[in-house]
Amino acid sequence: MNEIRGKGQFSSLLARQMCVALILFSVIALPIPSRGQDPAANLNVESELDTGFRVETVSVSGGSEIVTIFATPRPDQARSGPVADLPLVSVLRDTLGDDKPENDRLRYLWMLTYTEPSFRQKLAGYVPFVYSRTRNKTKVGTDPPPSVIDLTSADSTIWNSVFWMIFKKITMSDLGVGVRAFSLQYSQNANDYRRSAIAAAVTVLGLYQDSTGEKVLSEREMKDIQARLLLRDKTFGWYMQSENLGRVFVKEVAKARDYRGHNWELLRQYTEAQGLYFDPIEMSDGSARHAIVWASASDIQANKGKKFDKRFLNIRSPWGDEKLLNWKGHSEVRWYDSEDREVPSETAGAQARTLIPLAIYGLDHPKVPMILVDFRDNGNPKFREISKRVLNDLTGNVLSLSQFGGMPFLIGRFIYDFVTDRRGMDLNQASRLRAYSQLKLLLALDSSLDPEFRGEIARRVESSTLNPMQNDADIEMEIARTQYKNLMAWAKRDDGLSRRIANDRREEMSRIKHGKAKRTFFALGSFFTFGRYRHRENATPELMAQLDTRRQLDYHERFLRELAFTSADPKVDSDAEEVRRSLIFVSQYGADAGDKTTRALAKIFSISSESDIQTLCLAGLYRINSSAAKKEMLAIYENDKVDERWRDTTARYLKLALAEGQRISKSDAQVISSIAAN
Amino acid sequence: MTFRHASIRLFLVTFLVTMCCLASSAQGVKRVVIVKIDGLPGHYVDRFVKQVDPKTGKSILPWFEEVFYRNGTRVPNFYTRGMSLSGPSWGQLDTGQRLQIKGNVEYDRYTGLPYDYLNFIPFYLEYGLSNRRADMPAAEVMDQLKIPLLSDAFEYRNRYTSQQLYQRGNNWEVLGSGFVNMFPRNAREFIDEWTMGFEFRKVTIGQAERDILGKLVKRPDIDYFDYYDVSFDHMSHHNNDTASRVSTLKELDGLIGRIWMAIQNSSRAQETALILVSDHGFNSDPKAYSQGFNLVKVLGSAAGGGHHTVTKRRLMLDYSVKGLYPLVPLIKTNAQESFYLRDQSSKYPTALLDFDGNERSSIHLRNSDLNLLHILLQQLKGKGLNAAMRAAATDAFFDIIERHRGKWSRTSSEITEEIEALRRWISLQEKIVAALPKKFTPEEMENGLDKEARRSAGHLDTAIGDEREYRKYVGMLNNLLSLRRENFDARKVNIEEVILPGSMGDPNTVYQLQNYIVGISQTGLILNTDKDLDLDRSFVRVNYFDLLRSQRVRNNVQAGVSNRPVDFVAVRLPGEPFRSSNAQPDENPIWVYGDNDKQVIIHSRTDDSGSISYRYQSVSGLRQNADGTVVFKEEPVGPGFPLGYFEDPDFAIPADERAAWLSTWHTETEWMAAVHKTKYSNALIGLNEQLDRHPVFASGETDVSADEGLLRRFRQRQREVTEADLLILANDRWNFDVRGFNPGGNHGSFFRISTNSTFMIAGGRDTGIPRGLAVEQPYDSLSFVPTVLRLMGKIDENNLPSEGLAGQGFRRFPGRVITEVIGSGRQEEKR
Repeated sequence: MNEIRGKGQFSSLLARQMCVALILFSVIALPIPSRGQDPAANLNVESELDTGFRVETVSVSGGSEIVTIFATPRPDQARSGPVADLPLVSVLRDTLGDDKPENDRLRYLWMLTYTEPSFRQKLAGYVPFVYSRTRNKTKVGTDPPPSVIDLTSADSTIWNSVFWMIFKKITMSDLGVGVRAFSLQYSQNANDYRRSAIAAAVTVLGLYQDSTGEKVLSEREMKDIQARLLLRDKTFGWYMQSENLGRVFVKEVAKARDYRGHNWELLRQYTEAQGLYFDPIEMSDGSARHAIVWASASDIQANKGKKFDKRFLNIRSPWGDEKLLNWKGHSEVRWYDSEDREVPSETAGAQARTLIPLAIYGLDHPKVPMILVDFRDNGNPKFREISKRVLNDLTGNVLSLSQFGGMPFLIGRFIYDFVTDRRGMDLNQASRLRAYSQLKLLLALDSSLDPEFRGEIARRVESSTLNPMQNDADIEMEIARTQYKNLMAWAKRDDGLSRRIANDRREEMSRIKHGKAKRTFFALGSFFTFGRYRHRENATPELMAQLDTRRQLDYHERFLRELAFTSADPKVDSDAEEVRRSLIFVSQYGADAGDKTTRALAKIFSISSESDIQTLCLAGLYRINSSAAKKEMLAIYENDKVDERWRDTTARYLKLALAEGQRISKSDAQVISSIAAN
Repeated sequence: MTFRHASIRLFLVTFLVTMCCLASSAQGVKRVVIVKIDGLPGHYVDRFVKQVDPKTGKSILPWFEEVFYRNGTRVPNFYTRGMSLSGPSWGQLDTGQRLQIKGNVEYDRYTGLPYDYLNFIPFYLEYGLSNRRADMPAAEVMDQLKIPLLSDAFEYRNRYTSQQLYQRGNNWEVLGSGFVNMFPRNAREFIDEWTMGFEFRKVTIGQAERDILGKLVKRPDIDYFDYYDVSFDHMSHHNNDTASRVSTLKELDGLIGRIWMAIQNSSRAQETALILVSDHGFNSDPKAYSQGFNLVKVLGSAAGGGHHTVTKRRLMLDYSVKGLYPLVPLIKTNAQESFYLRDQSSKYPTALLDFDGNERSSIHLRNSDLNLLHILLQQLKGKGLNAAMRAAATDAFFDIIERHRGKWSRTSSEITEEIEALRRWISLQEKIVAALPKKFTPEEMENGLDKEARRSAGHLDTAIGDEREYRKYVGMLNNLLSLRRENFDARKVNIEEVILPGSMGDPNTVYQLQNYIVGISQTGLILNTDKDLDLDRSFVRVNYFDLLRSQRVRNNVQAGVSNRPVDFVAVRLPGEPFRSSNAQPDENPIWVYGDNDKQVIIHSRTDDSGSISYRYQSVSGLRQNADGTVVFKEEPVGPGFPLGYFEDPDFAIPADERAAWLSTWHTETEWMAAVHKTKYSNALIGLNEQLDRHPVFASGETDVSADEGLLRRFRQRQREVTEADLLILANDRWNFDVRGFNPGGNHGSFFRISTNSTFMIAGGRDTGIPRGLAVEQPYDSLSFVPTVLRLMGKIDENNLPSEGLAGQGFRRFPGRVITEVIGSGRQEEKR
C-alpha cells in the first residue's frame, strides 16, 4: 500500500517539477543570438592559425610564473597583416622565486576557452531534460578565468571530493525529486562543461608535446599535467601518487592511440565496404582524430536500391536518397589516379569525382568511431548523445535509482551497458564530449578545410551540443583572448594571483606543522563551511624555508620511488649522479620521508652494485625518522647474505637511532638493544 | 716402431684430440635462461639501444646494451626461416628441426577439424577439468612426430618453463600466485593500480618472472629456464606509435636487467648463459596504419566462388556478444552468394581460411571435383533434367569417380591400414592408461610423472578422435567408390554419405585452382555435340590466382600503401614435370604468382650431404593442364618479378651480374649472404621451407615394428593434409585480419622487417661467450637450438646429439651452428 501511495506522490511531484522546468525553460531558452553573422565567420579570421605553437612565460610577483601555450599561424600561411596568436592553455608554476626545479610546483591550469557560465546559462543548466544550447556568454568581464584543475590539490580539495561523494550518496536520495533533479542536473552540466574543457586541454598539450621547438615545460611536467587531467574522470584519480603519473601517462596515451588506430581502420573498412570515400583529417602532429565520409555523386544514383549496411557508420543509406540527389550543400570535385590516389587535377589520366559529405566521425572514442555530424540529419548525432544522458538523468537524478538499489535495476542496467559496449554502440557520452572538443579545436586550428565547409561543420557541431553552458567555437576564441588578458591583469595585481599563491603556500604549510588527523579535521571544517574556512599558517621565513625543503624532499622521494620501481641496478640504468643527489638530500633532510620511500631505499640498496649508493641508502634510512625505516634497516642487518661491512654500518646506524630516540617499534628496539649489547 | 705401437699411439692421439674438442665445445655453459619474446625485431632493438636517453645520459635500453652489446654476442642478421608467424617460428626455435607446423591454425582437410595452436583457454580448461590433457596442441603434434623440444633435453626436475605455445604441462601455482601478486598489499598502491587498470594479461608472465628471479638464486639444481612474453607483439599489433612500443621495450629492458642481476647473484653465474630470442620481426610504421582486407568476403562473393568459409576466430570478435565464448567453435560464415549450397554453411563449408599473423593467409578450398560431384548429384536428385541430360550428367559423375578411383582406392586402403594400427595402439594404450596411478607422491610430481600420465591419456584421447574422424573420411571414399553406373539411382543416394560434410577432400591441383568449379553457369547444364556434358560451358569457374591478385580498394589514403592488398600467391608445383626436363634433380618447385606476366619458380635440390641449393627462375603465363603437365614461358630476369631481388639496392650482387647470378644454382648460405638485407630478405628460402614437405620419418624404416611404421605414416599423412591450397601474401602494410583490427602493424610475410628477429646471448666467465661481438653473418631460426646445445656440449661437430639426447629421440639438427659464438669465445678465452 505504502509503495503505491509513494508512487502516486512521486508522480504528482514529478509532474509539478516538470511544469516548473518547462516554465523555467521557456524563460531561459531564448534562441541563440545570431550576432548578425555566420558562426563560422569569426573562424575565418582565425583560419590562418595552423599547426604551430608558441609558448610565453610571464613572471608573477612572489615567485611564480604563468606558462601559456599559443596557437600560431605558420609563416607560410600567414595572410597579409598581423594575425594574433590564440592563447589556449595557461599553467601556473610556483617556483618559490628561485631556479631550483626541485621545489617547483605546478598549480592551476586554465583552458582559456573555458569560462564561468553566465547567469542565464547557469539557470538553464539547472533545468532537467534541457538538452540544448541556450545562449552564448557574450560578456566575459574582467574577472580572472576559472581554472579547470588544481594540479597540486591541497588536502581540503582532496577531502572535499571524498565528502561530496559521500554527501551525494547519503543525502540526495532523501531529498525531493525536484531539488535532486535540479541540483544534479546542474552538477552534471557543470561537470560536463569542465570535462570538455579538460579534453580540449589534453588535446592542446598533446599537440604541443609532439611539436618541435621550444619546450618551456619539461617532459615530466607535460606528462604530469596530462596525467592529472586524464585522471580527473576516474573515481580515485585525484588520489594517484605522483610517482605513478608517468605510468598513467604512458598507459593512457597508448590506450588513446590504440582507440584512434582501431577507429581509423574500422571506419576505412566499413566505408570501403559500402562503396563510400574515407577522408581522415590530420592534425598538426600528423594524427587523424576525425574523418569525413563522402559519397560520390555518380554512385548515389547508380547504386539506387543497393543494400547498405549502416552498422558502425550510423547513417542512413545514401543510395538513391532524394536529398543527396538534389544536394544543395557543400560538395567537392577531387581527382584520382589509376591507383585511386587523390592527385592534382592536372595529373595526366586523372579522373574527376564529385564528392558529397555524408558524416564526420571522431576517432578517439573507445571501440567505435563516433558520428559527430550527419550532413543530412542533424538530429542523428544529437539523438545518440541524448539517449544515454536521458537514461542517466531519469534513473539517477529523477528516480534516484542507484545501481546497488535493487537487483532488477542492477541487472537491467548491467545488461544494457554490457550489450551497448560490447557491440560498440555509439552511445557513450563522456567520450563524445571529448570528440566534440577536439573537433572544435580542429576547426579552430586547421586551415586545410574549405572555409565555407568549415562554417557548415561548425554550425552543425553547435546544434548538436547538449550543454546549456557551452559557447560557440567563435565565441570561445574571443573568450580565450579576453580571459588571457584578464589572467595577465590578475597576475599583475598585488591582490591578485600573487595573493592566491601566497595563500596556497600558507595552506601547504599546514602539512609541515600538523599531522594527518588534524589536517583531516581542517578539511572537514572547509567542507562544512562550503570552503569559506580554509586553514592556513602564518608564512614566517622559517616556515617558508621548511616549505622549500619539504617540496624538495617530495621531489627526491618521488624520484627514488620511481627508481625503485623501474631500476634493476642504478649504475646501469639510471643517472647515478641524480641518484646520489636525491639520496644525499634524503640522508640530510629526509626525517619526514614516507614509508614508501623507506621501502624504495631498501630496494635500491639491495639492487645497487655501487657502494656509495648503498652507503647513501643506509644513511637515508637512518635519517628517516620512522619505525618502518628502522625495520628495513633491521632486515638488512639480519640478512646474512648481505656483505658484513653493510651489516656493521647498519648496526651502527641502528644503535645511533636508538640512542637518539628515533621512532622505532618496541620489538625492534629490543632487537637493536641486543645488538648494542653485543 | 711396430705397427701395433703406431696404432695404439694413433688411437691415443685421436682420443685425446676428440676429448679436447668435446671439452672445448662444451664452453662451460651449464645453465641457460632463455627469454623468449614474441615478435621482437632485432633492428628495432638495435635502433633504441643506440639512442641516448637525455634523462640518464645512457642508452634508452641500458640493459640490452650492458648485457648483450657489452658483455655478450648478438646476431643482428637473425631471421625467421619461413613465414614470420609465431606457431611455425617457435616450432623451429623450440625443436631445431625443419618446419612441421605451418600456421597458427591448421585444418585437417580430410576431416575439417582444426589445430588451434594459440588458443590456450581450451587447454587450461581441459587441464583443469580432467586428467587427460598435458600439453598445448603444438607440443602434442611434436610428440606425434617424435620431435622433442629443447626443454626436453633437461630433466623435468631441472627445468623451469613458462606458459607458451609449445607448452608442456601446466602449473596452476603460476596462475594462482600471479593473480594474488597482481594486487598490491598496500591500500594506496592498490587504489593506484586499480585506477590505472589491473593488467590481467600479465598475470602469468609477472609470476614467471618472479619465479625465475627467485629460483635462479634458490634453486641451483635448475639448468634450464625459459620465459615467454607476448607483450611487445600485442602492443605492436595495436599501436604503431613509437612512444607506446618503446615503453614496452623499456619494460623488457628492465626484465633483462633483473634477470641478469639475479644470475649474477646466483652461485652459478659464471656458467650461466642468458639468451634472448624472438620468433619474428614486426612490420610496423609510425607513419602508416596497417590496413585490413577481408578475404572471407572475397570468397563469399559470387566472383570469389560463393564459399561458405570456416575461420577459427569469429569475425569482428570484439564487437560480438558471442565473441566472449572462450571455447571458440569453428566459425562458419554463410555466403549470401553461394551458387549451389545456399544456407548450407553449417554443413558444407567449402573454404577453410587461416589469416593469423595477418600479413599472409592460407586457404583450403574444397576439391573442385568434389564440388562437381556435389553439383551433379544435386541435379540428378532433382526432377529438372531431361533423359539425355540426366544420362550425360550421370556419365560425367562417374567419369570423375573413375578418374580418381586409383588414388582414392589407394588412400582408402592406406588409411584403413593406418587406423587399424592406430586401433591396436589405442587398445594397448587404454590398458596402460587404466593402470596408471591416479594419485602421485610429491616426489613423483617433482619428476613430472603426473604429467607423463596425463600425457599418455591425452595422446590416447587424440588417437581415439583421429580414428573416429578418419573412419568417416574413409567411409566417404568407400561409398563413392562403391557406386556403380549400371544400378545408379541418384534419388537413393544420401549426399552426406558420399560428400562428407566439412571435408575438403584431396588438395586441389594448380589446374583445379586455375579452373575451380563453383557452380552451374547461368545457362545451366549444356550438352556438347557428342551429347556429353559440356564441362567447360556448364559450370562457373574461378581462377584464384587472377582473382586474388586483382583485388583492389578505392580508398587509397596513405602514402606508400598500394591499393592492391595482395602481393603474391604461392603454391607448390609437382616436381615430376620438372625432374624430367631438368638435367639436375629438382625437388618440388615453388611457384610464386605476381601476375600473369610476372611469376617466379623457385627450384631446390638437396645434395648427399644435406646441403640445399636453390635457383630463381622468372617466368610468365604458367598453367597446369588437366593431365598434370605444366607449361610456362621463361622470361629474362628483370625488375617487377616477385621478391624483387633483381632491382633491390641491397641485393649483394653487382648489378651487371645479377641476371646471371639469379638464374643459376646457389647454396643456401650463398643465397642468404646475397639477399638477406633486401626487402624480401630470405623469402626464397622461407617459401621453400613453408611450402615444401620436410618428412620426419623416412619411408620404409626397418628399425621399427610394422604397426609403428603405419602409425608414423599416419602422422606424416596428417601433416600433409594440413597443407593449404594457396598461400597468399599481403602487400606492404596490408593484412588479412578479420576478427578485428590490427592497425599498429602485423607480421606473417617474408618482408625483412617481419622476418628479422632477435638472437642475443651473454654469459659468465666460464661460458666463453664472446663479449661485445656482433655476428655479421646471417643465420636463421634453425640455428638456434644447435647453437645452444653445442654451447652446452650436448651435440657434436656434426650436430648429432649426445647419446643421452639421442635416447630421448633427439636427432641430427639441420641448422648451421653459429660458430662465431663458439669460435670467438674460445679465442678470447685463449687470449
